Amino acid sequence: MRGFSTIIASAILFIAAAVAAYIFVSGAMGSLSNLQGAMIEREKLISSRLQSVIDIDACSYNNATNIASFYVTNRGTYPLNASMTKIFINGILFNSTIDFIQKIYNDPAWNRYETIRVSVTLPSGVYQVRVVSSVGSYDEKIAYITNTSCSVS
Amino acid sequence: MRGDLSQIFGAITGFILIIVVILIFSYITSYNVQNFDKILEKNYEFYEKRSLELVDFLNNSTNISNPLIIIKNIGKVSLDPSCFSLYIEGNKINFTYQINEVYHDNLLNPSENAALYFSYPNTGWKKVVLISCNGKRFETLIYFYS
Repeated sequence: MRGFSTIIASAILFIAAAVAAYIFVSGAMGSLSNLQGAMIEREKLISSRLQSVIDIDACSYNNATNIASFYVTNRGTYPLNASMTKIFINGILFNSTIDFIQKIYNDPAWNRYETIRVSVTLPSGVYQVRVVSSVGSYDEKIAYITNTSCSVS
Repeated sequence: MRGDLSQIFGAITGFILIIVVILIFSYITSYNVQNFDKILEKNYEFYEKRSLELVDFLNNSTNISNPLIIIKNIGKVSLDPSCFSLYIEGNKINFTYQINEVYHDNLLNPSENAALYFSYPNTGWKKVVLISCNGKRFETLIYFYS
């Protein structure tokens, strides 16, 4: 009888341990699948950023209107949303107008090798210019603006 | 006896739990790392190619009636002029090109020359920027005369 009660006690203990393990794993799986979902989304964001390359190619300056135009080309494999491009002059976000200078494909996306013009109002001077794309990739150059010219390096 | 069995069951359960958690974490992290490896490898190839590109400008003056720029590939990789960007005084200029090919593959191979043809009406010294498909910049000054 004592042996029998020992077996029952052990079985109960085993079942209790198995149930506790099941509860823990199912709860953990829920959190872990959420964590995996978040990591997959983060991975997509980082992948798009790594595959995206934009270059500030050149700039021109209209002395009459004080408008500096920066020509930015998408040289990555990831199509971008040109309207969400941002320009920072000396670290400050500026309002800008954006239009396509060169389109290769007949669609609204900013595709590879296509060039946009980002125009801002600036007096002549030397500026740190950073253009940031819709996925966070960016290029940064120093712009030298005089009354007659604009150069980037 | 009962105590021994309990200890054994507890140990087995704990062992199984630890293994399961480790497997889940390793699955999550390996899934993301594999994708990043491929992308980083492509990025490395992109920047490695860019560092091997080099172009020389062979003419420093041209007539505005039929302006042209002659370039020579003095780098270590072939270039594709079809996706070059040409800027004169900061303005993007459309151009056509002709490669003086030694090896006939429509690419500007190392040691080959090419002529870029375009329209530009202004005279004087102008800053010319040529940018390759991979974003490598080549700059020079060219005198446009009438």
